[in-house]
Amino acid sequence: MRDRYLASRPKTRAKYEAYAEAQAEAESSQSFDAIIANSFSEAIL
Amino acid sequence: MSKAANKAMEQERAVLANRDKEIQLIQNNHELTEEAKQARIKPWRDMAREEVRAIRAAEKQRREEAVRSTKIAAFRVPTGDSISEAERSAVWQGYRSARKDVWDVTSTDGASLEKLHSIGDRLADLLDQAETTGDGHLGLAVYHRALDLGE
Repeated sequence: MRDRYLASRPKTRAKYEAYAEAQAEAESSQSFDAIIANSFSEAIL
Repeated sequence: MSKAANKAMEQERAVLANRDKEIQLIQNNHELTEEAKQARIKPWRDMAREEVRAIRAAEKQRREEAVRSTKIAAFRVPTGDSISEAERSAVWQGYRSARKDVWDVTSTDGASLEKLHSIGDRLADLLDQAETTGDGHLGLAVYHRALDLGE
């Protein structure tokens, strides 16, 4: 539904993609991999 | 990964590399006792730790702010050429009315499995209606509901 609505609205699509990207980046920083990576780098501190 | 995230990571690496370089210089100083070396190394470690934590905190704050600001942009109700506050209020009123209609029809509160499965069809019907009638508010409300539901 989202894609259907956005198909003819490039400006709205750009805003949605920026939001989705920001969400993904925020979520990835909380992911398991990030926790593990931070644990290692905390250790080297 | 975004440019800002890369920059934060580079900053963190630079802090650690500088710390390691300074520690190596101290370790290579044969005029110092082991105790004196450790006394000089500790401040470098402490400083680097604080700097890295500050970089990470700032990066976390940047990511949270990016979600907040892009969400506002994505969900903003366009007021077009409306000039006065009254005109903008009328636009928002129209949107709120359409939003209520969409949310009522697609409510998930206490919905049966069958109803949950049919929500996508309901949204499709509403979007059809919005496109047929040119009801921009209804179309926008359907889009926002689709974002909420991941449809």
